[in-house]
Amino acid sequence: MESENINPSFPENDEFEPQWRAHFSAPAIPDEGFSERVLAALPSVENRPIERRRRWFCAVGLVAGVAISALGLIISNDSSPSLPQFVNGGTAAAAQFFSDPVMLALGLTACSLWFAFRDRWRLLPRW
Amino acid sequence: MNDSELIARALVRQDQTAFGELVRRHQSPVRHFLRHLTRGDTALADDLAQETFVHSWRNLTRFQNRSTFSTWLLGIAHNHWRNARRRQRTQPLEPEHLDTLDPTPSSAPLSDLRADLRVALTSLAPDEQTALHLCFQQGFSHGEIAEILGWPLGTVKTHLNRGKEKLRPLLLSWNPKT
Repeated sequence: MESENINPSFPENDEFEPQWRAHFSAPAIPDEGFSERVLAALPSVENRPIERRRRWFCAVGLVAGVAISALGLIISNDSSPSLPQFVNGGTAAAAQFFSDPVMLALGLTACSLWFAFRDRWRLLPRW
Repeated sequence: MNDSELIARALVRQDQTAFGELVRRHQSPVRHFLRHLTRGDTALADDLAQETFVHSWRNLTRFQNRSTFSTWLLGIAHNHWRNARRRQRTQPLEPEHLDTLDPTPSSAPLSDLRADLRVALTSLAPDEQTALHLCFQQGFSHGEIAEILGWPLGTVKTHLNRGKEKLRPLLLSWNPKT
């Protein structure tokens, strides 16, 4: 079907163009209940694949947040060296921030929410 | 409210009413296109059109504003038609090429000419018919046709060129000014 490109320079508009459009134009097909049939056939919002993925991302983010927060609490209560000490220079401040289990959990939640709903951010109005 | 706003409402608020408005706006070109592809089988065309809209609802998040909504829809419709043809092994479009049309001059009135053009169109190769249908019946640009059918732009132009060259004698004989 995807055939050869014989004459790519053929002009888009020629002198016949208005006539072609006038003679080929077809009247619009009346709806006659088609839209209602389509709406009746739509799957519920909850069953849309994107919604299922959202639920998964949020659930995984929640579980990961709780797990890592718990781990952070254990580490901070431990006598072993804390996380920031392993991180050098520029990332030290961030590591310090996220070494707080609550902040870490909040960060994870924000990341998972952003990832789950990333398709919607582009729909927000630009300021 | 334009298409983009309706799409945003359908996505953000899960608003089926907004999507219903999109269906009402675009059902005619989609059903026209599928009727063309199915050679006038209106029942099959409407089934495929319904599948097209349901698919678009499920995958609305994948719609990028790089193309128009109708271009995106017709691309889905074309894919559904190809899948249905493969699945059901329905009568494939015959790859017949009739190289020339009868260039006999005619003094037919407009309505007759239109009927003649319809008949003449069926004598073209399927790809030429589809390209002409999208260009002249639906009013899409060459770039949009390329996007809908997944063809290179040059291929679209070639099919349109060939189709028009075959039909041109009919218009020339009808309109002495050209």
